[in-house]
Amino acid sequence: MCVESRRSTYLSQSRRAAGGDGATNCGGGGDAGGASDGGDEQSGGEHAVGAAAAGGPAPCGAAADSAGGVAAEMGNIDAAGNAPPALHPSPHPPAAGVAANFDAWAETQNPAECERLRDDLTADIFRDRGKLLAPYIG
Amino acid sequence: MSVKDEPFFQQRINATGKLQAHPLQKVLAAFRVVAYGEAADRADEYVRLSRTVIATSTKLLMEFIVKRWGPTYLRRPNQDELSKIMERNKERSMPGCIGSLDCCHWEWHQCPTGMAGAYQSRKSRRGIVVEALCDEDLLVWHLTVGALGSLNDINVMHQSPLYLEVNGGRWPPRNKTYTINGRTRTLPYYLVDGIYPRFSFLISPHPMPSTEEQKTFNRLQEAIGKDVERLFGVLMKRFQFALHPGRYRSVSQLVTT
Repeated sequence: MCVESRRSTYLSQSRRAAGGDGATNCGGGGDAGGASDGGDEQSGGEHAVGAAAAGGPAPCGAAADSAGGVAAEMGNIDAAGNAPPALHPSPHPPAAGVAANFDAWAETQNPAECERLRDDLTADIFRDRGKLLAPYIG
Repeated sequence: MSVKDEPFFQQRINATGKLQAHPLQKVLAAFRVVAYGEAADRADEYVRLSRTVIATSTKLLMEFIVKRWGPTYLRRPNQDELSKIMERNKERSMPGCIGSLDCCHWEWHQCPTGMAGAYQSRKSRRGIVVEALCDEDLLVWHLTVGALGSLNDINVMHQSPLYLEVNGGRWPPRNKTYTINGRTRTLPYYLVDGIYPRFSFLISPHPMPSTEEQKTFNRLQEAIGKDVERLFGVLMKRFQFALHPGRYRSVSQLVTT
């Protein structure tokens, strides 16, 4: 354990010398976004949750921040409002303001729409593939 | 950027002037651990390295792979890829579907006893949860690793970045329309199993199918939603490390591996 700890410290130092800020990999997690785990390999805990989320905290996100900064990456948000993958989502403001946030929340959490969509899919699939799938329906 | 340029993997000369381990030795040992699920001291005689060096090689190689290839492969689909995914799912009678979502558990052998309350699942096994989202080609478009083993799929989804992005209106893009049963919609959806809540971006099977239509839908939904189960199966077969309980002491190391 001690050996691993020393090597981790060495790794952080070497990366710091190479231009990073000591944060290692994407092990930072959902809320930390590349927080340093260089010296506390034995600690574990909840801070590592959500570490490898795609489109979320990209590996070495801290290094990306140090190179160009969040402000530089903000220009890369596309028309659909997708954050650039190099960024942690949390520093982003909503793409079109807080009202859009509420609208999206209401749209995505709507159980009635879910039911309608499923019913439409049910009708569509039965019309298209009903005969094809009939032998497989028990 | 290559592995041999990493400080740990570079071949060094020790104080007596002897060459130390070649990078290939360390990489080979690390791959044996990951691909075959071997313990770190299993290949020590074969590659002539100590257990500690093999364990460190594995850790640093995984960190390197995440650093080097993470931005390339752990990302969201771009517009072209999204169009292809939707097109292929349309051919499978699921227009508007952009993947299937599910969770699996990875047992954590070295979980500290003090953390058992948080990491112990309902099956009395301590572990972490992996949430993944993939398409028909098993390309992973979302991966959240490290959630507490005591959480169920719903709780894991509620704390995943994907959910926050969808609820914030930042994902998925609404610029691709699709038509189902004569109605045109813009919000794509994911296929999930029955435990997930009824959100408009999640399509689960009918809970109690009674009609022929509902049974047909469930049959196809479960068949296509099985993509992500296939992904977990392929991952475990390809990287047999995941078949065994994790041997690391920290969650962050489990996540990186």
